[in-house]
Amino acid sequence: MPLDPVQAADTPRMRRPVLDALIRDNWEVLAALGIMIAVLGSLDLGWLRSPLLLLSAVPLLFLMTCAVAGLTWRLVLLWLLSCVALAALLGDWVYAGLGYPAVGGALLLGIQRMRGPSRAQ
Amino acid sequence: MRSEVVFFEVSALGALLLLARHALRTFGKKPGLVLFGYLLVMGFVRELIVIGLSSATDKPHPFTPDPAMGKVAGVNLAVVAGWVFTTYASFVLARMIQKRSLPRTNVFLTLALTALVTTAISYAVEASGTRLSLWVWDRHSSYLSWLPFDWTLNAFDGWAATSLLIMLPYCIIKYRMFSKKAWVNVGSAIALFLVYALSDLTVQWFGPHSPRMKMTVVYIGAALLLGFFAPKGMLGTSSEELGLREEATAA
Repeated sequence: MPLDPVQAADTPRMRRPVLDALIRDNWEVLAALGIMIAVLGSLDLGWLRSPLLLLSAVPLLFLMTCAVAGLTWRLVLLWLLSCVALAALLGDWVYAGLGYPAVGGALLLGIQRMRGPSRAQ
Repeated sequence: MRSEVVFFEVSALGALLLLARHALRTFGKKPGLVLFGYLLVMGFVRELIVIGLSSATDKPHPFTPDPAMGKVAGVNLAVVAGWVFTTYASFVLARMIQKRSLPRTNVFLTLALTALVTTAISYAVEASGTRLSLWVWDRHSSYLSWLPFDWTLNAFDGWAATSLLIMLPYCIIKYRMFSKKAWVNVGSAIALFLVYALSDLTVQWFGPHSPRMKMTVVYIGAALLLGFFAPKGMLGTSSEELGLREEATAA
């Protein structure tokens, strides 16, 4: 039975070329953000000598991952759990707050799910 | 000039050139130049407004950039370049997330996501930049208690609101979102901008503490809801021109 377009776009065979095109079309932006993170990382390690500050890039890394790999419930859950685990490891629950964009992502996925698959724009 | 300032500025310039290349390649030469020019002007105007409001209300400028970074008419050029970088990168990354995972959403959601991405860029930059004294916050209401590294509430709100308010008028006018008549869109864009800019006058409804921050929440909340539920008539040509009709490939 043939898949409808939405299902077809979500098959691994179709996903790859779309993903490649998305990255190819926007590589400068991903590279610019990569430079930004690398520069801030160098400043944190080289000038400030404060490796923990590298964690301030965690929210941006989540959103970059969403742009490249897709925003999914699995990613949201994994990211939130990782932030909670990190906070437990560092002994300070405030580090769990680094997962805040994942909460935003969950909200978006929740609204998307509530709206249902059939509503046309 | 301090070595870390030089390192930061040279690298930022390299990253900005990459974004300019992306704009020219994907939007086309003329529209890309127009967009980048618009971002430069709005970044400059934004700083002029902040300086003007500070002197008009006799309150200190909320932050002081390192004087080693060049100034024109009292406006720090590195800060203006920062607005261009942040707004453009946020908008494109927001569009990527949307195209990849949120099918049948529209430009309003791009704008709401732009604000979210901006907070993440802001957080990384502020955490290091303030410690290196690339700029110093002179006036801020408080720090966000739920995040490490002392992120000021002003920065959290200010960065997100700025990118949203820079891209909102651009999208309304460029994609003729509210009407086919250009003047209706220009009028709507100016009205939405002024409502936000003058929100300090709404203390009687929003209370005395940072009415502009509350207005930011209203704007982002409205953009979020419209991003899923706006009628076609409000979108103009945005869905076609931003490629938001394509189906998502994840989620």
